[in-house]
Amino acid sequence: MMTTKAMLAALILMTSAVGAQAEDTIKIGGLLETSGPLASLGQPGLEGAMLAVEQINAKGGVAGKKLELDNVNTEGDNTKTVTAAKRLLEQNGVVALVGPMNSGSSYAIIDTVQNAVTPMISNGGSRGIVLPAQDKKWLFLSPLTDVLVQSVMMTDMQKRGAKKIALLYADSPFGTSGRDQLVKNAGSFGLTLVAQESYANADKDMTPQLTKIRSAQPDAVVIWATGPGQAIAVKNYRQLGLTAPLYMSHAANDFNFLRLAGGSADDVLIPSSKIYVIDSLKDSDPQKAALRRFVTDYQNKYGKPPATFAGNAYDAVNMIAAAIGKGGTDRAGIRDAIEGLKDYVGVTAVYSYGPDDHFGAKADSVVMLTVKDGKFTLAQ
Amino acid sequence: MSDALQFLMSGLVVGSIYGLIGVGFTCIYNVTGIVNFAQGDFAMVGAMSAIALNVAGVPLWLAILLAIVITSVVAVLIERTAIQPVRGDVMRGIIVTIGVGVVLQGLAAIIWGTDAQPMPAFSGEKLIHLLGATVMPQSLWVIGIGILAMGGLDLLFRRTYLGQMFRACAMNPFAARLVGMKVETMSLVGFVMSGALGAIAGIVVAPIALTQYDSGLQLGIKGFVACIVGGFGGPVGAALGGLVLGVLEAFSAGYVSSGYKNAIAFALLLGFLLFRPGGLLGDYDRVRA
Repeated sequence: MMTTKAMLAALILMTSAVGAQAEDTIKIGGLLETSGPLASLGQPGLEGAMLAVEQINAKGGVAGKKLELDNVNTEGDNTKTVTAAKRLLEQNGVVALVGPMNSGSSYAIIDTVQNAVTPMISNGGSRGIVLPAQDKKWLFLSPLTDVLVQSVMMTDMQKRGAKKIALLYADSPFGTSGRDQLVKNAGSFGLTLVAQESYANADKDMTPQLTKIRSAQPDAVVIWATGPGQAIAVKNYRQLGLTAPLYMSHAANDFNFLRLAGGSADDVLIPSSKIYVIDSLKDSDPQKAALRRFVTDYQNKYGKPPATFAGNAYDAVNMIAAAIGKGGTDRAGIRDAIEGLKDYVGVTAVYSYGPDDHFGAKADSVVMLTVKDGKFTLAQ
Repeated sequence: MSDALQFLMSGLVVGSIYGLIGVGFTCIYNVTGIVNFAQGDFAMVGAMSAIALNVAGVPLWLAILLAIVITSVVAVLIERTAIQPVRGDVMRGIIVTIGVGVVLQGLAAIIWGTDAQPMPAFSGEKLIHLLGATVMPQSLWVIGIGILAMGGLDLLFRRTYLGQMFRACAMNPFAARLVGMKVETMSLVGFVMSGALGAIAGIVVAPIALTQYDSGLQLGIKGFVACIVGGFGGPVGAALGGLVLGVLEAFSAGYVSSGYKNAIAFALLLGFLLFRPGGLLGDYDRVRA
């Protein structure tokens, strides 16, 4: 009995000691999912975020203090994300949040974050998270948005003379947001959407949907999805003997996708950030140096090349740090400083935020990739 | 027309996957009366071990064989540590298997990580054209193994002495023990078979569907629905139920919308449980009596 009491007392002492120590650091919260269906996005995301923190602290931190990242695994689950966000905001005293990869989870915490008047840079790829910017004062995005990459993708389709296109999308917030934007904007690129089909993320076979798409005889096909499902879809696409150019979303510029889809991935077209084609970039490209530093440091720290998602979270942490450097540790100050970032060179994009633009990334950050012999290269 | 044929083909392949998992359910059920909700996770463990061994340099066929052995050993461990302590209580046994499934998923995530893993197809990826529909060679493997597993188990349960002993242990363990049967040993044999079958199902499906630590969950649910539709306990019923489910899903995805896929599975489940609890083939016990 006495030992239990003694141990409790020791525990209380220890925790209060930790509490006192934390005063010298600036805490930012992470909501990255390191398990669950989107773990293959969240895990590299967390690695990228930790690399950013390490680099910043190696240079002496921000505003004279060390930066500390407090990540809670949100498992791709909306309810768990809300609980995690509340815990970070109310108990752990974070001054800003790096949001989850999952667009659905990001939507789930919009009110929580807004009410806590704390800025969050989300890693979800769905535009609606930050629209309209006037109402979503505290929310920003770091990845390339679907409208942005689709505009680059559809310009490419136009160039290849496509008129009729078909779409297969995942029944997830990322997939449906992509569909809505494609349906809305295809017309302005002279494209007609002749078929649109969906599948559930856990599905193992998409041949029925693709068979219907084949019957519509499109000039180009788009698969808009995340996770392993899109690899199965690409395999099924080849299996059915479809020959129209196949476009994927920017979620497919991922080594996991290449590994899972194998030879089926050859010749797919992917709008992407420049992270995989650094050597093909012109020396005048503003991102080249930043990308080189990120990829080298990541490779040294983790022993593997970084995925796109690592770059998203890396940018998010760096921009928050830059904002703290300008606006101090006051939450409103950080928010205003993020909104004021102009031509900030990140690894995913060059960001310029504004009161009406919480997306930041600009179209010239996007390139079209293709896959040759299992490797990403610039599309010709 | 060729569209309909492609939907049918796709449905038969996916249905065979569900059927294979469903057939695995019957092993443990027919010995202990327990519905093993970790059956899908056996498939995941089998596939993940085979992939890991293959990646480590073991030839594909040897890796598959070892993976089947590994999964059987896992099944034995589970039977000894989790099922034996609640021996005789079917309800508790069922709940224990749900827990076992969660533990297997957690361990798999720790051992193999959370990424999905690909597996090479057994006999290449050259397409086979069949009356205007295209099929992967691996799909024929799935269908073939499904038929073999179903036929073999059906023979075992109906025609062999071992099968009769199995059924006796499930129906009345007390009476079975009175006439000198070793109920514990039978239960162990049931788990070994179920583990091996689960592993085979997972491995043969892996090149088509990819595998990750939580793949077993959905497979297990669909396999369970297949069993309910076909009639719980009978291998033929399980396979038939799987095919019905798979074909219905494919046609609804093709002609209506894929959004209704899971709704169809659960509507079938509820419909059969409410109006025809014995399944398509009727109550397995009664048919045999």
